[in-house]
Amino acid sequence: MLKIENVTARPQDDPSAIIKNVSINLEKNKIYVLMGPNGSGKSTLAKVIEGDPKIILTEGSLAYKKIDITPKEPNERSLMGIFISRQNPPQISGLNVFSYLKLIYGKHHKNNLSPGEFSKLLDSEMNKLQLPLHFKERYLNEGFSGGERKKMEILQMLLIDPELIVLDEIDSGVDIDSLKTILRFLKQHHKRKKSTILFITHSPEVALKINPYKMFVMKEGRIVAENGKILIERIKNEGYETL
Amino acid sequence: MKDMKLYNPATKKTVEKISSAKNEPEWILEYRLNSLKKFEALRNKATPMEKKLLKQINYYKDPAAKKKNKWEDIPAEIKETFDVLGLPQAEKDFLAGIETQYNSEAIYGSLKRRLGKKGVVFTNIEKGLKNHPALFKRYFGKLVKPENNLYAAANGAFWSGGSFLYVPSNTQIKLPLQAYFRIGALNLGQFERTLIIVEKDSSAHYVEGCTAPSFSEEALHAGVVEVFVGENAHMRYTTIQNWSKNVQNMVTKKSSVERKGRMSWVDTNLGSKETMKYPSCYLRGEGSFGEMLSVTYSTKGQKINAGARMIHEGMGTKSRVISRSIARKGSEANYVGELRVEASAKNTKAQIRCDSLLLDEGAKSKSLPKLEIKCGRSKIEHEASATKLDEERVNYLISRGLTEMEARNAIIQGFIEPVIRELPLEYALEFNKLMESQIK
Repeated sequence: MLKIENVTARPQDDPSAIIKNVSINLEKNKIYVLMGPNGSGKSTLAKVIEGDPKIILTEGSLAYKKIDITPKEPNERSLMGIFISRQNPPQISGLNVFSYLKLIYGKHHKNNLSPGEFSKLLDSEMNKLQLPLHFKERYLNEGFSGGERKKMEILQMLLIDPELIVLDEIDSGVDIDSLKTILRFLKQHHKRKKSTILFITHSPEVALKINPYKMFVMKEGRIVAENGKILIERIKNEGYETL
Repeated sequence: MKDMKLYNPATKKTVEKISSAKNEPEWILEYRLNSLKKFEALRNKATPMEKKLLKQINYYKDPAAKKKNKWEDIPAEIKETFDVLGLPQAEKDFLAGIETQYNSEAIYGSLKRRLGKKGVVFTNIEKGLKNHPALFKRYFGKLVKPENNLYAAANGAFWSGGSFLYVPSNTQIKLPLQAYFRIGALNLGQFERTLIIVEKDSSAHYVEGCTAPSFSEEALHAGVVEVFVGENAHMRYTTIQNWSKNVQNMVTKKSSVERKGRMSWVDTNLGSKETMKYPSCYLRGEGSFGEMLSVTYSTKGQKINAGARMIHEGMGTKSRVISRSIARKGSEANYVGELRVEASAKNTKAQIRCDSLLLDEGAKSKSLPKLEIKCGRSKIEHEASATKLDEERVNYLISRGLTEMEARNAIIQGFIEPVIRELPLEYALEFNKLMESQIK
C-alpha cells in the first residue's frame, strides 16, 4: 500500500527532528504501530507521508499503490486516499464546522449529497462518536477540548473514508472513554474499508490494545527495531534504551 | 473632459443654484452659505493633494433622470450594477423599500403601503425637507456640523440627494430598508445627505450598498449621515462600500442615542482609493448602547482608515467595537478611532477589539485608538493584533483535500465571519463573492 524508501528529511522549523534513511513497507488491510522516544522523528515521518511543504526531503521516495507520490501535493495525496490525523489539530476561527465538513466530503465523493442528506449522515456519525450535534454550528476546533479535537479528526477521517490512515498520537490528551470510542471506530473502519493504519503512540498499553500486525521503533531519526507484539512488551518493561 | 454646461465649481453661485433648483426654505440656504464659508476656510488648510481634488470635482449635477417607481423602469445601467452584486430580481419582494441614486438625484422605488400606513416615511432628502419641515428644523445638521471637517463642510454647502427615514414611536420595521448609491458621471462629487430619525420604542435597519464603474479621473464621495435614536429604540445602519479604485471616500456619520436606545453601525469596505470613515455614537441617554462592526479589505493602491468614535455621556452606557481588516499588496488598512468617557458617564463599559490580517509582506496595518477617559468608574478593554495568514492552518486544510486557494479563502472568510454574519444574508453572500473575485 505504502512503500517508503530510504527517506532522509528534515523539518524547516525544527532541524533536530530529522529522519535518516527510513524505509518501511505498509501492506494493505494491516495495522501498524510506530513508537519511539520524544523527538525521535515520528511526527516528521507522518508529515513526510502527508507531504507537508515545511519538510525538506533530501533523499528517498514514497510509493502509494505503486504510484510515486514523492512530487505530489498534500491535497492530491488526500484525494488519493491518504489521511494523516494531526497531533495538534489547529483551530480555525470563523470556519463553520458543517460547511467545512460538507466541503471536504464533496471533495472525496462523487455522489452529490444535498445539505439535508449530508446533515443526516453527519448526525449519525457524530452521534456514534458522541460529539454533540451543536458542534456543527461551531467554528472548527475553536474552544474544543483536546479530546473533542481528536474526535473531530476521526470525524473528518470517516467522511473522507481513506485507504491509508496515519494517526499521530490520536490518544494524547484524550480521556479513557473517548479513547475507547475512537479505537472502536478505527477498528470498524479498518474492517469495512480494509484500510491500512499506522498508529503513532507513546503508550505501550494503547499499542497492545490496538493489537498491530507489526510494530516499528524509531530512535534518533532511524527505524531501530521492527517486530510483532513482543516488541511492545519489551518496551513496556525496559523502555527504549536497550534498543 | 469637462462638459462646461454641466460643470459647477465650488462657489456661492453654485450654492444658490442648487438651493433655488430645489426650491428650499431660506434657513437651508443660510445653512448652505454658512457651510460654504467654513469650507473655504478649511480648504485653505487642506493638503495640496486635497486642493487639487477639490478643484477637479463638479459640485452639482442637474437632475438627469426622472423619478420612477417601478423596477421595470429603472435604467439598464443600474440593473447591471445589481447583477454584478448578484441581486436576483425575485428579491425585490423582500425589500421593504427600494431607492437608487443616479447622477446625484435619487430615483426612488416604491415603499410598501404597509409601512406608509404605519406612518413611516422613507423618501429622498429633498422630499423629506419639503413635507416634514418641523422634523428638519429640529434634527437636520444638529449632529454633523460644517466645522467638523473639510468634507462635512463641502457636504453642508453642496448636498444633494440622499435619504430621509422617519420611524414614528412604537413601530418595528423588520425587513432591512435598502438604498443603492453610485456615481454616474465623470468627476461628479457626491454629497448625499441622509437623515434618519427613529422614535421611542421603535426599530429599523437601513442598508446602503455602493458600487461604481471606473473613471479616468478622481471622484469624491463625501456623504453625511445623521441618525437620531430615541428612547429604547434600536437602529442598525449597514454599509457595503465598493467604490471603484479611484474614488476618495470621505464620509461623516454620526448618531445620538437616548436612554436605553441601541445604535449599531455595520460597516464593510472593499473599494475606493482612499477611505476615511469614523462613524460615531453619542451615547447620551442612561443605559444606551453603541456598536460598530467593521470589515475592511484593501489591495494595491488602497488606503483605508476606518474606525468608530464612541462618546459616552450617559450613566451605564456601553459600547463595543469589533474591527477586522485584511490588507494585501502594499495597501494600508488602519483602525482609527476614538473612545471618550465623559465625567458624567459613570459605570461605563467599553470594548474595542481590532484585528488585522496581512496577506503579504508589503501590507500595512496600524491600530490608532484615541482614549480619553474622564470618569474613573468605567471598564475599558482594548485589544489589537496584526497577524499574517497562518501557513500551518492553510497546510492543514490543504492536507484534507482543499486547494491552496480554497484553504486561504476559508481562513480569510473565517477571519471576518463575526462581522459578515451580521449582514443580511444576500449581502453576506455578495460580500464573500466580491472578495473572492478580488483575491483570485
